This record gives sequence, structure tokens and C-alpha cells, in this order.
Amino acid sequence: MRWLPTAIAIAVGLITLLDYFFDLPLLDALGIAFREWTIILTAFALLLGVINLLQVHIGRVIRRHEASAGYSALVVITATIVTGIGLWFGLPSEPMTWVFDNIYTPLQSAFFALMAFFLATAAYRALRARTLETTWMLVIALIVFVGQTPLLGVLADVREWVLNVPATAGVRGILIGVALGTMATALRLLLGWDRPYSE
Amino acid sequence: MQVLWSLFDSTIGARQAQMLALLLVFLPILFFAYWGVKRGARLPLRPLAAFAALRGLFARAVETGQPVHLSLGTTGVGDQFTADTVAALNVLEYLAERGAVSAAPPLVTLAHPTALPVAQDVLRRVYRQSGVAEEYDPTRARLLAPDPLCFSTPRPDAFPYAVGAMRLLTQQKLVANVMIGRFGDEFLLMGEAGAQHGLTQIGGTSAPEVLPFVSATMTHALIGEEIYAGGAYLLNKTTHLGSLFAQDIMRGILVAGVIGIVLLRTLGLL
Repeated sequence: MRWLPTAIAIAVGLITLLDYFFDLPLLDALGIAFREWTIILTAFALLLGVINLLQVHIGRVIRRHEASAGYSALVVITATIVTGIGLWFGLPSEPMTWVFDNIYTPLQSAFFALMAFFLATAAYRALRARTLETTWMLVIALIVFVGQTPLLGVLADVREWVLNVPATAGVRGILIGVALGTMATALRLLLGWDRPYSE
Repeated sequence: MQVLWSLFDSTIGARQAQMLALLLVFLPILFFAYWGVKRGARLPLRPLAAFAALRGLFARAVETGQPVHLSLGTTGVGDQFTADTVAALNVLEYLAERGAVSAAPPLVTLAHPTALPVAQDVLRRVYRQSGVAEEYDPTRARLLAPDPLCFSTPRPDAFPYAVGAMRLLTQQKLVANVMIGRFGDEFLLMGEAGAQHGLTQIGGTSAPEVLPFVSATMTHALIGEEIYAGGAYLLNKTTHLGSLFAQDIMRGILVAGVIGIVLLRTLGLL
């Protein structure tokens, strides 16, 4: 019976692919059903994920001596409180919206505000002129950077050219490669050559 | 003929027809390349520093007893970024194979719940095949922060994941940080945390807008499609070597097509 998971995966994959290509009522119905099943499976996976999360953090709390046991306790307590609010008041509800609007969203914004500082240190490391490649990158970055300001008008045109010609060409090259890589991976899965789901 | 054309026109859109044509061209090339590799054709693989460095990590992992951290990205399986997750799973398979025989199992983190059972399954399978099934620990693959909106979006909110991964990179003793898969801006936060901590970092993504962050923070970067080559470079799988060969042939055809169209347009023939 080891062939069964592979057969199911290939059949479902082929039907979904055909549903993308062809507008036929039977394929449409099957495609919708498969997409609904995916949502149900994702819900189960989320449940497994929560169990995994609690397993890791409760284990750490029980072992106590680990440095981050306090943070793990905080994760378990927070998860319990938020789950309790969700189960008691339902989703969406005013208390849950309050939690998201007043705790989660401000924390998220504050964290992403750190991006500017991380960007500065990363750029400093990347643009140190150590090799010919990084020197070249530094020169181009400076042209684009200075070209953004009204100080040197001539650099604005160079900046435009850099962004529109070599940068766009590079990105398109990468995208073609990614598309081919994605297609090859998808076909290997569809043909059953790659089976990350079975022995 | 008219009837056939109207049936074709009503069942397939122009965009879908283009995609189907591309697929029908690629499919025989893929079979041909696979057949060639299976019959013994060996094609030279250009050296990729990232995969070479990945092979060298395990001596250090065994020596220090510290694990390699692998991030599978912020997407799962079953969406349009599944290929990126599968690419990361190939790297996981390699790391798990080495980890199972050297008692230095990788520490895997992920952001999308659908990737968790697959990652755990890869680990379990490799441990069983290596004859050390009892050594398998399901918590070596960790969902750092489940996102309640993962049903509606292929890329979950990566903020909680990035926070968890940054803490892990700075607090846990690690040999190296490997980040392969689909990422967004959070790549910079995690990559920079690892870089500031002095970790050896190997990473790559298929998202062009994230590649500057990859280049700036990783010791060895994988650019775009290179992330899909893990199975060929690390696991030496026939199917992966074949598909790599097929991709090169197809790329050649596409480049020739682009040049041809540019020439025809320039000469006013199209």
C-alpha cells in the first residue's frame, strides 16, 4: 500500500493543475472541493503547531535551569489567556480586537521600526570595498543614493538608467530562473519523483 | 475546425494556453534529461560556495556538539510558494542525514503550520532509514509562532516568527544559521541578528526584493533559482540532476527566443 499516498498526491495535483488550465464544470467543482480541504488540513496543522509550541515551552519550564525558562512561561501564560478569550468571546469579538489593536499591532510596528537600524549596519557591512565586486556595488549604490537627491541633476538620469536597465534585466533573469525552478519542482512532485510525504 | 476552436476558446484562457504550451515544451525536455542522467550522463555542476560550505559544517557540529539552525522560510505547503518550501526540505533532508549519523541533529524552525508535519516527517524518515529511529525528537522541528491568519494568506505574518528566530540565533549556541525558502523583509532582521552574533550564515530565497538582504547578511548566499538545486548538489538525486539539466536547456531555449524576438522587432519583421 506504499503506492497509495503517491497515487492520491499525483491524482489531486493533476486535477488541480487541469482545473487551472481548463474552465470545465466538473474540474471547477473538484478544484473548489480540494481548496476547501486544504483549509481544513491547514486548521489541523495549526492545531499540531500549537501542540508543538506548548510541548517545547512547557518542557523548558519544567526543566527550569534553562536560561529562557521565564520567557517560555510567559509564552504559555499568554497563549492560554488569548486562547481563553477567543474561546469565551469568539472570533471576531471586541476583547480579541482589543488584544490585537492594543498589544499585537503596536509591538509589531515597534519591531519593524528596528528595520532602519538593521538596514544601516547590514549596508555598512555589505558595502565595505574589500573586493572588486563590493567596490562596484558601492559605486552603484552611491550613484542611486545621490541620484535620489536634487544635488546633482546629472546623476538622476544615471540613477534612472541603472534602475530601469541593468537592475530590471537582472531581476527578470532571476525571475525566469525561479519560474523554471518552480516548474521543475512542481513536475517532480506531480510525477511522483519527489515524495516528501511518504517513505 | 470552427467547432473545435470555439470549444478550445471557451475552456481555456489565453494566459492558461501560454502556460500550458510552456509546460508541454518543458515536459519532454525534463523526461529526456532524466533519462540521460539515469543512463549515466554526468554533467559538470558549477561550484556553489553555499552548498560546499554546508557540507563542511558537520565536522564543526560534531566537534562542538552544537546544532545547525535551519529556517524553512515563512511559507508552507499547498500554496504558490510550495516549491520554495520543498527546496528547503531538501536541505533539511541532507542536514538530517548527516545529523542522524553524527549525533548533531539540526534545529529546524518554521512559520507556517503546514510545513511542520512535513518537516517532522522528513526528520523521522531519515532517522528511521539511518537505523536510529529512537533518536528522533519531534521538537527538533519547531513552529515558533502560529499565525491565526494562515488560512487566508500564503505568507503568514512573519513578525512573531522573526522575533522567535532572532532570540534563538542570539541565545542558543549554534554552529551555523541556514535560511532557505520564501522570506520577506524579516530576512534582514534574522540575518542581521545572526551576522552580529558572528555565526556562519548560509541563505537564499527566490524573492528578488529580498536578495539584497541575503547578499548583505549571509556569509554564503544562494541567489534565486539556486535554492532549488539543493537536491542535486547535496543529495545527488538522479531526478534533481535531471531537472537541473532540463532547466538549463529550457533557459537556453527561452534566451534564444528572447534574442530572436528582439532581432525580429529591431529589423521590423514582427
